[in-house]
Amino acid sequence: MSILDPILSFLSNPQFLSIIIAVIIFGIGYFVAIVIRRVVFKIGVRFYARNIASIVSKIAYYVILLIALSTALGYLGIELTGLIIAGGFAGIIVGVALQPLMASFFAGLYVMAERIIQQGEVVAIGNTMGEVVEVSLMFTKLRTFDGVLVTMPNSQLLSTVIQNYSKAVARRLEFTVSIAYSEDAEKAYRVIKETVDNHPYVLAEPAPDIFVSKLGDSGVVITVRVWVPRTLVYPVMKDLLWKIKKSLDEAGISIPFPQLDVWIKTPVTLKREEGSG
Amino acid sequence: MYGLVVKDSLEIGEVFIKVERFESYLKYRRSMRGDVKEVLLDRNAVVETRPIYSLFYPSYVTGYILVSFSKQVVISPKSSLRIMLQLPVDLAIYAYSADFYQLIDLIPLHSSYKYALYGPVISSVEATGYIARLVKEEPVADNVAEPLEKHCLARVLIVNKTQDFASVSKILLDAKPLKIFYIPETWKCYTQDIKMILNSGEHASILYEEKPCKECVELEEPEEFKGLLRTLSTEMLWGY
Repeated sequence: MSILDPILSFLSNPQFLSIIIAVIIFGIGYFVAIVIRRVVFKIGVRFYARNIASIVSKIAYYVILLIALSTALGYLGIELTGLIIAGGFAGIIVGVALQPLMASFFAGLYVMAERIIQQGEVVAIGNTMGEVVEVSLMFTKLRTFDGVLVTMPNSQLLSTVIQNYSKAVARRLEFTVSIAYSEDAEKAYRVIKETVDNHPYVLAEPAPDIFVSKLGDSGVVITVRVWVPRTLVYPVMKDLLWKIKKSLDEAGISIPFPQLDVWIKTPVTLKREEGSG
Repeated sequence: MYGLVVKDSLEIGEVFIKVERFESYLKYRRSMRGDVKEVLLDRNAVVETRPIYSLFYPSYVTGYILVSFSKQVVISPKSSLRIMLQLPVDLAIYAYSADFYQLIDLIPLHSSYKYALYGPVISSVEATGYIARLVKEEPVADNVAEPLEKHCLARVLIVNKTQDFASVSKILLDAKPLKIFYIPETWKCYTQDIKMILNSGEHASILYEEKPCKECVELEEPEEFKGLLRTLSTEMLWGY
């Protein structure tokens, strides 16, 4: 009897062969999962954000790994039906328990895939306005213009109105200016137009729109609509109305304050008291 | 003048530049309409003037330049025409020594700086396309035109590939791939040659081609344009 005989006998054992084949199945599955993960990431990153491509590629990786594991265990004769049923029940329980988190998770995937909002954009979500700091799978972080960091679950994004101010290359601003009825409206128009035309950040095309929009109680209301590069909206908002006001002042055009003429039916006699100024 | 080393002082219109050398440092001082700027530099620094795209004053907003023609250029089908355009440039003051090269000041040479949208406004409220520095210029078909002071001469070959007459009233240029050249110690400045291909009634491609003259020096690109991915052509998708 050779010393190799027990080894050969062990190797020719059908159970051992099954284990070897199961390991090979799992190994192939593992290799395929790695390849699929890389391919999915490379393709995904061309069309979607990097983090979403990474998540999808990881999901594909674990799904293939799970299939490989169940196939390998099945080859060894381990019955997985009970495990799958138990896993299914556990999944339902965990899913119900983690429903808010899952809602945020899928909302995050949707927001990232659709690129509704992206890092660096200026948005208003509900009543919160600010710059997007981060969009992760579960939360979106906004930095408001007074420096507060607001973190909101992504599920909230799908149930509220999102205004994105960074999608257009230019935005239209609107101002209203009121001039007294006694003033020359055409002169006021010329003064406003000159101020608007001289402002470097007011776009020449589309051309500014200046028109009388209302004959108000106290004065003639002139509406000024201008287009401004998206990134310069705030500086122009601060600057332009102030410049219009100064130009009107310099041109001697008065901006009226609310006034009310009172007509008295019965004649009134005014008497000056002695000693009064 | 471009490519001029400022050793003592320089006066350009309302702008006065003074460079003072002290024992251990150098002081750059510029005054312009009451606005004064001072920069301290190391003793070995050299202060030099260069042309720069007219895109950085009052602040950098865009890399595109939209040249609007004061008169239309009409090209017959399957033919071409070379025109000359004068593009405004500003004066950049650079300081350099062995280990640094830096833009220290920018002198605007023009009175008006305006921008425009190249692209459509959808439903009267949604602006799409590009924001561009608006330049109004008169195109000339004179082949021997010389660059005007404070301008760069751009030679544009317009090629009409369509079967119809084409009227060209504007051209959109991208300053990132468009190189500037100048002849040192003169006001002569050129862009590289430009080819505008009219592909259809709405679409034109702008290509950036040859160096304009042998004795020209190529301008080192501004910091804003360094390291950017750039295309070699500009597509005008919304008419010309």
